[in-house]
Amino acid sequence: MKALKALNFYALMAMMILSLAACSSSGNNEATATGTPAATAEPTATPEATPEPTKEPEPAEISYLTWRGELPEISDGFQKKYPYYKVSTQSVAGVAEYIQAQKVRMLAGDLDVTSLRPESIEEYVKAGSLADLTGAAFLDNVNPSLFGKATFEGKVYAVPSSVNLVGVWYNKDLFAKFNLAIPTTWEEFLAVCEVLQQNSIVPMGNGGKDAWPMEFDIYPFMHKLLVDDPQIFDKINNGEMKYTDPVFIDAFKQIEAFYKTGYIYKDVLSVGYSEAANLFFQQKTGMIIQGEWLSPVVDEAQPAFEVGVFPMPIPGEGTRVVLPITVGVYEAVLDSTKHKEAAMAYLDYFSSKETGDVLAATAAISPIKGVEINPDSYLRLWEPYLQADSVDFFYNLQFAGANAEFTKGLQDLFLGRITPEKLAENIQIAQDKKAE
Amino acid sequence: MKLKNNYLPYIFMAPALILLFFFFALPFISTVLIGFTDFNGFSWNMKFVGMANFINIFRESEVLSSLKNTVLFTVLTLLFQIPLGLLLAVLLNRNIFGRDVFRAIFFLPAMISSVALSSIWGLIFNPNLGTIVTVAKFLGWDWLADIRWLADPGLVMYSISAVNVWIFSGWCMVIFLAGLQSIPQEMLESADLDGATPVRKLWHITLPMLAPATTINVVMVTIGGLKVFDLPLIMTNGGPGHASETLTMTIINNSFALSKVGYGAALSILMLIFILLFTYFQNKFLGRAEEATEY
Repeated sequence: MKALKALNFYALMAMMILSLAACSSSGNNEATATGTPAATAEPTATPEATPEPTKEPEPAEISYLTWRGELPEISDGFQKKYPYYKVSTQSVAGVAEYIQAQKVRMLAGDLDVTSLRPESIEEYVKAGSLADLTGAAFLDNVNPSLFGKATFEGKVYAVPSSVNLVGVWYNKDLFAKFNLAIPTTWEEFLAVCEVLQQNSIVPMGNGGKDAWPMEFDIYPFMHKLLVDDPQIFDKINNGEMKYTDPVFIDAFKQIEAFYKTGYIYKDVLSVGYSEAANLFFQQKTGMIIQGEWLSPVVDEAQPAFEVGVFPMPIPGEGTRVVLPITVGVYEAVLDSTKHKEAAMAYLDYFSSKETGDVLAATAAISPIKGVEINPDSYLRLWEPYLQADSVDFFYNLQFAGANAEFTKGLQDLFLGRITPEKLAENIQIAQDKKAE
Repeated sequence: MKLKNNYLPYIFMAPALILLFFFFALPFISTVLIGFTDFNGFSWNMKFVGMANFINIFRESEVLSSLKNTVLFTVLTLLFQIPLGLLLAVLLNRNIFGRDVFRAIFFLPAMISSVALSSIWGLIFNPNLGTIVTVAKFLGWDWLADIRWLADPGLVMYSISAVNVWIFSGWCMVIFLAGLQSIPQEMLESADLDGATPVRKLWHITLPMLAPATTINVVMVTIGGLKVFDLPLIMTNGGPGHASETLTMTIINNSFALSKVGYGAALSILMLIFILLFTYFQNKFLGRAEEATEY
């Protein structure tokens, strides 16, 4: 009996000791960036050539996590160029699922290179999770104006690998049928919506059930805030401004008024992103405000009408064209990697024109110099607009929690369940958690 | 010989205990400890923050909203799933043609992945192409076609609860069937001899004798309801707005989307305490009811 009690005691102690050991923080990754990130600062270090290894590199296998598919052409090309290195690419579909998987892999420390969403970079840099890429030769392959979100205190932590933009996709046949010209001002845009509505065509509608597409139907109003003041969301993030300030309340009131026009599909909260695209292809909606990432969907759907695109008119800006353009995907090396040389070699290959051409063939806009848009994709429709003035995506500049509350709040605003003032208050409450 | 007799059971239990330790005890203890830190889920740099996470929970209106949705879902499920399961059990306890086939049909949804079923019901409720709207338009029932089952904030939790009842009533049916088959036949025959009607037999004999099965069903349905996650996630993603966001969804959102794993852990601990208290008092009440029915 005594032996039994002793065994019970030691078993319990072993459980406690093991669990405490598992919970201890090892603090291997020191934060290397502090303070407010300089969102628009250019890299200050002079680019250096990637140093040639002085001896035969040690064979290494690196692990690359992305959401863009297995990318076998890129893996094969890399391994052909660097026969002593291997890359194991894992892909997790779905941005939310991807971010969860990425965080778990980062914690486990078995990830070498990873694709990053722009909203993830700041928190990873502050936690010291990303390797400093400053001075790497491959950074010169990319348009220098695109490094804003990846640069903190003069150091570069990620390299852009895909560019996104937002605009209006429209049904050219319907426009021709109702003698509609492409609107170049906000007033003309509203007039087009009115004509479509009077002819029993729903002017537009996104997949509100998935929450994030709600931002696109009202994108012009948030875009206007950035066009007027490109620093506005930096001011929100550093506490200089609040969402309850008049400029935001006015924007939310305009959104509310726009919802009441009925120009947006009335069942927008019952359809997801894919179904909303199908409504456009079935000609139940005349337009859809979406990103260029709709291109492969259009390519696959091959709608029975001619598809066109035009830049989103901006309220109060007349005919001025300012496109929302951002880097949607970055690639970074994890600071915890045990194969830094191999990981940097992978980024070097990933930033080459060769890889840019492969990604462009999948209907993506590559930030790499000299890479052309795939002429066989509907993406080509956006080419004439790529040199226009641009500002970042507003939601990439928002704190993630505030943006989540904003998209949920838009659903309630659409239903008339909250007022613009209440929406502003709720978003500010979510924003205040950033400081906690 | 004495040594072997003392330690042999532990050796045989060891594999199960090891699994229990790594997949239950260790995660549980880790969660409790993480609840007192600012762990972000992707870096081992974390610091002890004391009770800050727990205090912040009570300041958040989103937690209250999620709790309200979760309790509503649980109450609706209890109100409909238990009686429906009982009704099915009573009907399928008789010796009718095709009884076993019917039992399998009603139990089938409980065996299929609830994620798959949630997706299917999402399509059924779809206001453009869904089964309900298609049938309603065919019958000329515009009032039915106009109902927005998942987009109406006042209706969405009822719709999701209805799907849950449909999926798991068969489960309750199986538990009640086991209980029904344990009722001594002599009691029912004796009641027949005394001229008791079927309703009186049900009320005075069957239901009281089903008290243990009822307890199991009520406790399991309550725990399942308070932890619900997959149905609202797949069907509505917690929308519209926060109208169908449950407590578990709030935990997941904070832990992964907002990198506040410490806060999420604290919330899950409070949720555990809430569930334990709820089921403790529920068990106490039902236990007294069981005692009262003992002969």
